[in-house]
Amino acid sequence: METKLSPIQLYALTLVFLLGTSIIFGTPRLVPDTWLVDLLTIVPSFLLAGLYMLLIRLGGGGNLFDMLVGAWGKAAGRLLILAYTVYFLYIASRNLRDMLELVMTALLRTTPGELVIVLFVPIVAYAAVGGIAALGRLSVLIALMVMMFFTTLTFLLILSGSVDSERLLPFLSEGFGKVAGSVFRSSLWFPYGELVVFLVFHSRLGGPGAIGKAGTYALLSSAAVLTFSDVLQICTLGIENKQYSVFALLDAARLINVANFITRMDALVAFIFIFGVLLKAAVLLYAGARGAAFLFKADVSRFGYPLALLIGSLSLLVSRNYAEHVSEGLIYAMYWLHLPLQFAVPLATLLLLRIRKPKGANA
Amino acid sequence: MRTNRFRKEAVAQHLKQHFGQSADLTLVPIRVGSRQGLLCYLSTMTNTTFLTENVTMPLLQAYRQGNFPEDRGLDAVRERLYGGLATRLLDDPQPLPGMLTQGYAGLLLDGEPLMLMIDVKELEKRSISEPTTQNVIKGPKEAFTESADTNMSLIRRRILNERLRFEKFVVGSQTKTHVYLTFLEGDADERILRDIRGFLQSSSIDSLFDSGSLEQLFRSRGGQLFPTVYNSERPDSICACLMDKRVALIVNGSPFVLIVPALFADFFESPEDEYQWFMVGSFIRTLRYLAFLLSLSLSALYVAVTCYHQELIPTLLLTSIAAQRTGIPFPAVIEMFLMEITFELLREAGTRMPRLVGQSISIAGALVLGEAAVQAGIVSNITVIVVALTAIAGFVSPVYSFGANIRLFRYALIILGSLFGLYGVIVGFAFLVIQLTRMESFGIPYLSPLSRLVGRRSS
Repeated sequence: METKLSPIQLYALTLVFLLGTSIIFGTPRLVPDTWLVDLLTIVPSFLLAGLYMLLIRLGGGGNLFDMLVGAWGKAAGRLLILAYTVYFLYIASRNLRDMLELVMTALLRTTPGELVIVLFVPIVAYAAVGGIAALGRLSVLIALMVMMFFTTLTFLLILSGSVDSERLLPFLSEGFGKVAGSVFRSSLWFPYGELVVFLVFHSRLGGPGAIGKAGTYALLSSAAVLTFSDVLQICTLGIENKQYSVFALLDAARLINVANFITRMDALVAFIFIFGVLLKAAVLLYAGARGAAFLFKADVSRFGYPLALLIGSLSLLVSRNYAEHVSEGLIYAMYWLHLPLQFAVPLATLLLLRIRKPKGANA
Repeated sequence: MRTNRFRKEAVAQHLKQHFGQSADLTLVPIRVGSRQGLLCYLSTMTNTTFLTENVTMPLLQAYRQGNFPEDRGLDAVRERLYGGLATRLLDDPQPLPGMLTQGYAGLLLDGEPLMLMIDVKELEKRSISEPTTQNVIKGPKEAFTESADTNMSLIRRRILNERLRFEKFVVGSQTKTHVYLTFLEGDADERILRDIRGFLQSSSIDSLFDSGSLEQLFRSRGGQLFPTVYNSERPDSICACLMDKRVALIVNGSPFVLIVPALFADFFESPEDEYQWFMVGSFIRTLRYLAFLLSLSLSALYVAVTCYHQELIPTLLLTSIAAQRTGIPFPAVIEMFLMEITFELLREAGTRMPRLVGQSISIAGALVLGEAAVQAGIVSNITVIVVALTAIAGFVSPVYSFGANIRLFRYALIILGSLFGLYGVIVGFAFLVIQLTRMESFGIPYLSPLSRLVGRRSS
């Protein structure tokens, strides 16, 4: 058996997983005060994380797949596992698409997207096949890098005098109701709901106690970082610009100009983003491979590279252009995938497990 | 009946069968009083003066003074005359040739049931000199030599601790090279020791002349870009590693001692760091990491940025680069490869060349290739600067073999950078980082900090 992750690795894994893509996109921009949404999302995200924690405690040592079979029976359980496997791979391919769009916008304008993906996919699989211990170590490095680059970015923005807190106004121009609505309509499910993937290998993460502790800190820090990032973006770009910008952080970084020498820090943003997506996609791919291995009773490592090719091609086929990609993510994926698989199925599984379990055998 | 086993003629016959007509096999018939005897040894494994002084002289003297224990057999001879030497009594002629190759001399007297083996190994060896590949300004100046005995002594005299162990293994089916597993009993991880013992015993190579081959054998188990075995020719460095609960491997014939497990951070440490103010040590160490990053990525970044992302370069610098590159017929990648290969050639030529002609290489390299290539418009100044900086940074690592592997990956990064711009370089880096996190050296995660090396294993 592999060893369990150290608390720092677990924290970093969760943090990078949460920040991976959302640090660039920010939360879906449905209301002007996105940073408030980030802050408020902490509350429901803790409820959701609590649901997952209950599942972990109730499921004993078993992972998500064991729980599903235990609660729903063999046939329905296996169907749900298949659904989850496909779901993980789908999110992974969406992440790859996000990265592709950013690379095409910021770095390589004319290179065919297929080549970009072909180069990236083996790397993702290479990381995923290494197993959860290697992913944990990788995440510590990436967390350090992301934090370092983010801090550099902030300092350079402040130094170049682009930050103006006046731009945060008007505050709550569309009322509090819309902000609260946005929390439940989108921010909760992305990125926090995606934590459901950790249920797949929670037994490798160091026990419910460690997960609860590291998870709490990771949730709090990621909410803090996201809020800060949104505030920073609004302060540099202004509410309007930020709302209509595709990659707000990238646009903010382009404003950096220190003494006409340090300019155009796009590369930093790309760096943060590529590494974030790398880890996120690797974790999702690993979970997907475990799902496939569970269903087809084969070794996990055999699925790594084939499934990676699958998410690679899926990321290109999933939508025709970026607008379609975004609307698919905000509307269809939200209601048809995130809501049921991140909330409804875990809740139902929890209830079923509760009912099926004899009352005395709660130890 | 037993006496027949060590008859003079029979033994001589036996040895001639094994060694053939080999010139160094020496069979000296001797006569002690009334008894016939035979002294046999390999003249290449010993020294005539040593043999005369320590073996023949005592024998003759004892006989002349009349206290030769004539009637009491070889056991008494051994005790009285060769008290100071390592001796063994042999009751079977079978291992005799093997022992001769290890530097024993055999003494037999007709009519004795046993044969006396005396260790007379005395080899010419290089004296202890200063390290040639891992220099320090401050700190001990001794380096290991080719003799394992000397090397073990160099370690032992630094660690005066009875828990220090040297375990002997014979590796190589033809050369029968001695390899000494060195560790501090109780400190070193038992599982690592078991691993290495099993590996040494089961290794199927037939020759071993340098610890480098052993290093490659360990390596082939992982097949990675980064070395998982550390080598040093500095006893102080090896002793520091032993105190860190690690295990050293001394190969007879090689001045480089191996250390396992080796972690990423090892290759950025020089023993000298410990001998000076910690701020200076940390600064230099940080510099080494920086140099590592530079030597890895600078040329690739240059190619990527000048080909794809000109907007990332400050305008003034961009115009300067563009001005230098006007009239250069090659794309930046070709230019970069031209210079990199040239530098590799220079480096290789500089290492292999006899020292007397070494000067001409530096003249040809610096003046002809550097200056003239720029003036002829084949390469631009900035490329020369980039390649030179990369090359210098590549030599900063205290362990030479570490820098050597990175050079290869640098070429991959340059190609990636020329095809995919910064994205390619970032992906190349991602590959490197993932490999580093996936790697383990004898069960210890390769990237773990050195202070944590307390017998922790992940599997």
